[in-house]
Amino acid sequence: MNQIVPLPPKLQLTSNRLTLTIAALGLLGFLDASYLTAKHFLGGSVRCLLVEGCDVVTGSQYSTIGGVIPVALLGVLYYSLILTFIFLHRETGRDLWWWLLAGWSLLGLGFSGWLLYLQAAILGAYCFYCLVSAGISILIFLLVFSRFITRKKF
Amino acid sequence: MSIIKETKQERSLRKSRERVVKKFILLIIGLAALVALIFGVVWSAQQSGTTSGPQTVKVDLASITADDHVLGTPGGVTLIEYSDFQCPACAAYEPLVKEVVADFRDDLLFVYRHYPLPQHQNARLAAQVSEAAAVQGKFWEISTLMFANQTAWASQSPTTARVTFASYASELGLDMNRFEADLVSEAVAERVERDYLSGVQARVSGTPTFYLDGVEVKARTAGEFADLIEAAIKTKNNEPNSSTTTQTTVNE
Repeated sequence: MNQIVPLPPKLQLTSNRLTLTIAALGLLGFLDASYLTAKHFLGGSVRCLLVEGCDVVTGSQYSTIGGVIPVALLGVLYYSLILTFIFLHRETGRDLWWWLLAGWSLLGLGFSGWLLYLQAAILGAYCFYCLVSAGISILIFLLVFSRFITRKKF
Repeated sequence: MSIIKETKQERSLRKSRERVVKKFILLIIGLAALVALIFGVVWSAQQSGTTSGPQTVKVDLASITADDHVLGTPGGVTLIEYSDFQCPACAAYEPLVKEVVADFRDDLLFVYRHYPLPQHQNARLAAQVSEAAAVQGKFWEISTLMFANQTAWASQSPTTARVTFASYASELGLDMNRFEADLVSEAVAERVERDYLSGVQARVSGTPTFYLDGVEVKARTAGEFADLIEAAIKTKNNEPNSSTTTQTTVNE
């Protein structure tokens, strides 16, 4: 078991606002994905705001992995881990958690890209809550990686 | 002396670690509670929606189009079935539905719609196969084969099931080149998806689901179906003019 070595307080303070923003986004994404998962399991149409064809998206064959695991549930898992990593980073101050966060958010970015492609090119329909989730994961990615650029010593 | 100092440090480390673990557990509990809350809200919203919303009493199913799979005669009552070739209950209903359709062939229009459940691994493929056969006019023939041999292909892997389905197609004397081309065509995939989505819209919750003139009905036997259909014909005839209903009422 490694020892927990807290970072100097200065370093923690500077990233405070950033981590809080990411945590807030993660929570928002978590709620969004939970709603879509609830709708998947309980049935019924998702509320369609601003766009058309929400049911086309959530009812399509791409809405589950192998017909078993709903993509929305993967979203819940994704945001849970985002929140976990950001929490552990804040609590311990260890860089490892930020690296994990970075890797995980990159994965999320890629998956969101794939889902956006499916909606735009294959289904030709969009689902509002799916777009919100894609937007959030892109923002999280940008914020997480912004720290690599603004901080020379990491 | 140094030993005491170290243990102090260790203790503070241990304490801070315990604090993190505690907070983490709280975080997990909080997230789980949030999920439960959302499920509860969605569920209760749906409950109130189904009881008070007048539009849910009579489902406005998409109008019957020329490429819908129909049996019987239009003009009378309409029975729509949302079905899945891999669902055992649907297979059990198949002969029963055929019997009812034959009995009421002059007053009933039967519509078969695909509702391949995601948990049935070969259901969507089966639906697409039936659509590829429908291009060559053999929809009902292949659907009979699908249901009759359901147990044989349901447990097969999709690749093996595809071979099995192809054997049904050739058994029916289909042009196999055309069948194979249609099977992977976008038109066929979209046709199945269209049915599925109309089912989603109608809030189909399982298979088979039957709608008699837009109202969901449940029947376990051909007799129960006959009662429902007779009642529907009666109300339908009552609406425009009541003079034509005498025949159906005297019979029983």
